[in-house]
Amino acid sequence: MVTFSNVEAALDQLNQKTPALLASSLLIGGWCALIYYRALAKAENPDFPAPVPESAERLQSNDLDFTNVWSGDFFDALPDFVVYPPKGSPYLEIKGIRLGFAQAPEALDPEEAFKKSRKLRTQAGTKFAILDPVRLYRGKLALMQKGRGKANDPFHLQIAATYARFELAEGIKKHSIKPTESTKRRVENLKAEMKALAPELLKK
Amino acid sequence: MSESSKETQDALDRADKEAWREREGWASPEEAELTLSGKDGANFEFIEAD
Repeated sequence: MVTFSNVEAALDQLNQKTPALLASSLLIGGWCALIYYRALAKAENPDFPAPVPESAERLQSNDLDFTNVWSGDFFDALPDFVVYPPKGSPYLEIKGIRLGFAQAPEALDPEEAFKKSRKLRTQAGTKFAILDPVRLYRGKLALMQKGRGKANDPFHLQIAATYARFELAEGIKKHSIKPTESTKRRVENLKAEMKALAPELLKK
Repeated sequence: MSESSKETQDALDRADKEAWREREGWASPEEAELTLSGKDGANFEFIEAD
C-alpha cells in the first residue's frame, strides 16, 4: 500500500542517502498538489475549502517527480535502489515509490522555480522543496490545454488555484495583524507572481 | 545538454513512466482516501518564508 507515509519515508531515506542531491531537488507534479490539499484540509478555512475530487480513481500515482536535478546523479548515488523491470527502462524506487525526473518540465524554468519554491520538513526533520502553487497551476493548465492532461489534473489544478489564493489571503491577514517589512514584501511578492504568471487567480 | 535534448529525454522518460503507471502505478481508491484524510500518519510542516 502506498500513501503519504511512503512519500514521507522516501524523502527521509533520500535525505539519509544523498542529502546534497535532495537539497537541490524540486518536487513537482501531483504530490505537490496533494501536499497543498492536506494543508487546505488542515486549515479548515471556510473561504478556501479543500476541493472535493470527482472520483477516488487514479487520484494519486505511486511516483514522485523531481526537477532541477540530473537523473544520472541520482542513479549514481543510489545503485541499490535501481529496479530493472521486465518491461521498460530501469528506474529508482524507494519505499515503494518510483522516482521520476524532468529536465525541462512544462511551462517551467527549473532554476527559477527552485528559488520560488515552498520549503517543508518531514516529522523526522528532512527539509525539501516543492513547486509553488502558482507554477503548479500554470503547469497543470498547460498540460491540459495541450491535451496531455491526466484524469486527476482538474482536481490538482483546483487545489493549486485554491491554495495560491489561500496563501495570499493568509499573507494579507498576517500583514494586517502585525505589519512588518517582511510581511509587506511577502504579500507584494505573492501578488506579483500571480499577476505575472496566472492573473486569473487574482480575480474572484 | 541542449534544451531540445532535454525535452526529447523527458518525452522518452514520460512515455516509459506512463506505460509503467498503466501497468502498476496507480494507487487504489482506499490508498488515495488515506492520503486525503490525513489518517496515514504522515505530516509535513511548511517552513515559513521570509
